[in-house]
Order: sequence, then structure tokens, then C-alpha cells
Amino acid sequence: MKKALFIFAAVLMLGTIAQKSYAQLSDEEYNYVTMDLRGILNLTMTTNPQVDFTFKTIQEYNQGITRFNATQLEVDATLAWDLFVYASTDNWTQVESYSTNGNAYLPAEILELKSSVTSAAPVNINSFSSLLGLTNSTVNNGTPSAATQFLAGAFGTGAGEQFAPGTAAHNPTTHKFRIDMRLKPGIPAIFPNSTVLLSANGNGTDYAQAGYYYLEVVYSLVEDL
Amino acid sequence: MKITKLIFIQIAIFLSISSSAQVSFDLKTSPNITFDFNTIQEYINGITYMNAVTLNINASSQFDIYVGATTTNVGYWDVTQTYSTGGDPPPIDILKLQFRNASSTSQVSGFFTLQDINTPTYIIGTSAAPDPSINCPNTGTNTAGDYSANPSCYKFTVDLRIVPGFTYQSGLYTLRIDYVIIEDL
Repeated sequence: MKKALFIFAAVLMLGTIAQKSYAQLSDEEYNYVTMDLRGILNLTMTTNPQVDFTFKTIQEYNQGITRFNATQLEVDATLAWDLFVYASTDNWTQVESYSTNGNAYLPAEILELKSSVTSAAPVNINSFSSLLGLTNSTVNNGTPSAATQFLAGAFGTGAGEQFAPGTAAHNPTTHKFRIDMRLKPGIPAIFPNSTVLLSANGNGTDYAQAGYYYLEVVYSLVEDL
Repeated sequence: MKITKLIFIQIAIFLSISSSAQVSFDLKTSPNITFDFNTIQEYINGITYMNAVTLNINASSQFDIYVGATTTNVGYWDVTQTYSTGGDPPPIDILKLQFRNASSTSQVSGFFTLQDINTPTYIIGTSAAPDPSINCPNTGTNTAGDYSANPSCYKFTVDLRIVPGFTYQSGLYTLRIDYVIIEDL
């Protein structure tokens, strides 16, 4: 019996000492975390999308009409971005004619635009410039080229050819655009500032037919291209 | 007699095993957390997940607790997919954690940045061993105890927060947060 008790105590001690030679105890818990950073590009027009020019006096024909801040745009972006502009057609669409003479073909280029934000692109609207019609803008299925008019950024992804991510609220000088618009028909209404002549479509008449016309101007915000 | 010896030996072995130390997290769930940034406001203000995980401590000896991230590329999230070409790869330290319990025993108060598991953040104790003993309900409580008897000291809830801003490349990213409890030797 004594021997049994002795063995009992020895094993107990051995067990206790042996525990101290085991590896350090530990346990783990985990979180598996996924982060989805979506690419966001928001272009907001904060003004009325409809801009009207009504020429009803000789003075207005001669001096033209300038709409300052005709359009205001705000950009919020989580990516580097470019902003470019073009007309959705090559020419204005006539809704109604008021006379029988004159040229109903008015190229998009008779409309001049100027942006408040300076672009480094070679083709821009940093000063009053003719808006490029669809063909001259070389925009193909929404994709610009180096010949497209850029309000921000430029064609290409090199340094300086994009604007940085940010919001209009925090970056008003680079993410808020005020677009001035000008039409100056002249008398006769040949639109002397236009980079495309009214006779470009083959009609030899170089002055505009009196009438009601409209043109769609497209502002396109894209990831830096 | 031989049988008696055998019985005594088995009892001795049983007692030695039952008296061994234990440190563990009980009722583990290992939850998945998804931060989905799809509005400008979320990029600016961030997303916070309260109670992302609960750590139920069961310790029969003095312990340390530390936390860190495990990723393939140390210091950076694992990339599942990118949505754009510009921007920097996001570092793991844009993820912030906060450990809470009723007695505020965490040594780190408020939100702190996540580090790699090789340089973890100690919530309880330090890398030195053994640390001075601190009893519940003091900050740094590291003495034996369990969550069911003293949840104010031995139960932590963890909050997660990310405020990405606009610096990083759009894409889908993952990482694993490791919470480790270890015997303080």
C-alpha cells in the first residue's frame, strides 16, 4: 500500500512538472473582412439644362448674346477623371423656319463655350471657343480622342492628364465648372466666330435662315482615359 | 495489489491533466464583415461596424491578448479584383478597431489602427513575460477569470471602422484579423 501511494504521488508530481514543459497555451478568433471600394463618378448639372437664345433686335444680331454661367457642373469622383464636351450632332436641328431664304444648316460650331476651370488639354474651352460637332469632336461611341474638347484632364493617362478624385464641396476650384455660352450671328447671320462655315454642307448660302433651332450639348465625365 | 497501483496511477494522471492551465476564447463565431463603399458620403464619412466580434475569455492563468492582420503582402490588403487603374493599393492601417467592455480593461482606448500580426497591438499585457498581475476591474486585467462570471472584464466586443477617402485604387480587397489570447509566461 505504501508503495502504491508512493507511486501515486510520483505520477502526480510528474504530471504537474510535465505540464510546465508543454508549449505555451493560446487560442485564436478571426474576422474575415472584405472591403469593396466602388469606383464612383457623379456629374451633376445644378442649372436648368435648357439654355435659350432669342435674337429679336438688330443689336442682338450684331453684338450677339452671351449667357454667363449658363451651365454649372459639379463633379464628385473617387477615381482620377476627365471631363469633355461635344455636340451630339454636326449641326443644329431646325424645328420651324420663319423665312424662305437663308441656310437651314447651322453647324454646331456657331455656339461658343468658355469654362471657368483651366484645362491643360490641347483642345479646350479655356476661352470662348466653337463647340465641336460630333464628327469634328472625334468622339466615337462616347470615347474621346486627342482632338476632343476637354474641360478637365486630357486624352491619355500620363502625369497631368487627369483631375484628382474629390468632391465639388471640398474642391470648388477644380470640381465646379461654370460654362459661359455665346452666339453672335452678325448681320447677315453668318456667325463669323464659327470655325465651320454655314456653307460647309454644300449649300452655297452663307447666312442663316430665320427660324427656331435646337442643339444638344453633351458633357461627359469618364475615368481617366 | 497490481490493480490498486494501476488505479492510483490512472487517478494521478487524471488529476495532473485536470489541473492544467487553460486560455481560450469561448463561443467563437469568426464572422465575415463586408465594408461596401458605394456612395461619396461613405467614402468621406466612412463605415463603422459595431460589435463586429465578441471575445469571450476563459482563462485559468494569467494571459495576454493581442490583435493583428494576416495578409499575403505584409501591410496591405489582399487584392481580389481592381476596378480602375489609378490610385494606391490600400494599406491595412486604414482599418481601425476598438475594444470595449463594461470595465474598460483594454489597454488601448478608442479606435486604433490595425497592424500586421508580426507587430501586433496588445490589448492586454505586453510581449514581455510575465507581466505584472492586474486584477479585475482595472485597466489591463490579465489574471485568471472567465466571461460568464465576470463579463465586465473578460468579455470584449470589437468595433471596426474604415474611412477610405479618395486615395486608394478602386477594387475588392480582403484581409483576416487575428485575435490571439496567449498564456503569459
